[in-house]
Amino acid sequence: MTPPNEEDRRALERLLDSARADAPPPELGERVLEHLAYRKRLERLAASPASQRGFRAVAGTGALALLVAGVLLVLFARKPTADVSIAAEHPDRSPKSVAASAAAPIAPAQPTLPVGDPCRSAVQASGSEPLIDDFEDGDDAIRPLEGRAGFWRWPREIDAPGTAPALIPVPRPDATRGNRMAQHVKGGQLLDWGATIEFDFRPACYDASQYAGVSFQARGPGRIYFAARERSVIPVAEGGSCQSDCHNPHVAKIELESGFRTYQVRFAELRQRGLGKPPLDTHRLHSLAFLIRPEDTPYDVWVDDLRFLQH
Amino acid sequence: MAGKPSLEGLHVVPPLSALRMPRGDGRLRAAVGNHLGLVWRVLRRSGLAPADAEDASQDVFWVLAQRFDDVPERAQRSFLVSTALRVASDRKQSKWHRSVSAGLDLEARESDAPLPDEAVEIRRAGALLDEALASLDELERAVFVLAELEQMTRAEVAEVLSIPEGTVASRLKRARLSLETAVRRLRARPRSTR
Repeated sequence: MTPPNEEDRRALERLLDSARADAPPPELGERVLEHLAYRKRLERLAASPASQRGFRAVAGTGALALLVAGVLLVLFARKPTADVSIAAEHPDRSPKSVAASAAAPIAPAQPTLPVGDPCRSAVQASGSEPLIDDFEDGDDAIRPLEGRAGFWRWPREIDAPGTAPALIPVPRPDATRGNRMAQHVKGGQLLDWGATIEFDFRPACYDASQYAGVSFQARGPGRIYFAARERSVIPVAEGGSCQSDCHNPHVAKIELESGFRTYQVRFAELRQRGLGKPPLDTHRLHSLAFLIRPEDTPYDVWVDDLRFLQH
Repeated sequence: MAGKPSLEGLHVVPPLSALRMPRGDGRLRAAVGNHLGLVWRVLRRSGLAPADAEDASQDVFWVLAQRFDDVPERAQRSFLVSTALRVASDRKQSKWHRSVSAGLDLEARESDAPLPDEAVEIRRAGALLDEALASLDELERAVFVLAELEQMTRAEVAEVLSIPEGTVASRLKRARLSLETAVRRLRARPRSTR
């Protein structure tokens, strides 16, 4: 090909002139400001001991009220509903355990961490505020309890790079006064890796060793996988520490039904793909996720009331 | 995200403003007002799709918000440009970026929507320029975008990219020649039927 001539130079100039006129969408400035205000507010909430005490008080009152409601329902109605999630977490009540077998004790030893590892300053759960998110506040942030922070997203294989939509709760089809909102995703056939409902802990290392697992409500029908991702399965470029066999989180298979049910997953039940893999290190959690594999699509999944299980 | 084409299965998302959130303070608002266009163009010409650039814009200004008191107002432009280049580079390395084929790019999906002629021309020019820019290495591309598109001085470009001014000049010359050649090749290509 011959070297560029004057006409090529003029063509490039025309392209540059047009590209200089490329402006952001008109509403983007307001959205950026709202997003910044939102994140600042969450940081303040997470950092403020007074606020945390306030949340604890509110959560404590709410838990007591739900417990009373649960007892009343059991005594008088004998009809479990979606509002008795705290009572239903107890293994003696109605929840459907993912694995009926006795779980092996979780005993991940706290390793000696190298200098610069974010887990040296990991946020540690105290074990007193198990609620991760009940979605009743209607936003995409998890509840700022015990130093937790993070935002719900819905990455799918069909999304353009980095465009995973934020997940904002929507009203439940069986909404009640005490339980109005839940997360809902719905989509068609997927072919590659599927879709997820997820949030990353911020900072990306959370010590949940004070808890034994999680419980949540979900509705299908279909199959999902609950995943607790350690930092060690997330590539370095994405904020983790994985060098090989990345994106192989610890998962448990969940068979959903066409109505809301409460599920319990103990961390010790979670398994990685492959033989001889170590148990989940709950000291170094990067994110929690519900995975939807391509073979389980099309999908229509609801998730609600995600909380840690106490030992 | 308002303004995007409707995606399959995406339920209606209320605007964040409906969540009764406080707005940013005046200084941050001014910074967004003054520099959002610059950040947007740097992100887009760094190879991010429009929807990705929207999310990345939030990340860039979040970095500024966290260091607002450390960055003097006169240095905001340079700070934002270097942050935008880093954010764009990080995003392009992420699994989401790598996992998506060109055929699923949002730009291609958006092209089906009717648009004013001027917007169509800007989009076509942007797409052509991006294709040409893709033939450059990351540093040459950054130098070219900042110097030619944003018309920053060589000293400013050198400061933002932490390279000597001489390197800016040589990279700019090489980038321009590569781009003129790429444009020549693209112009000679038969037009798409789409």
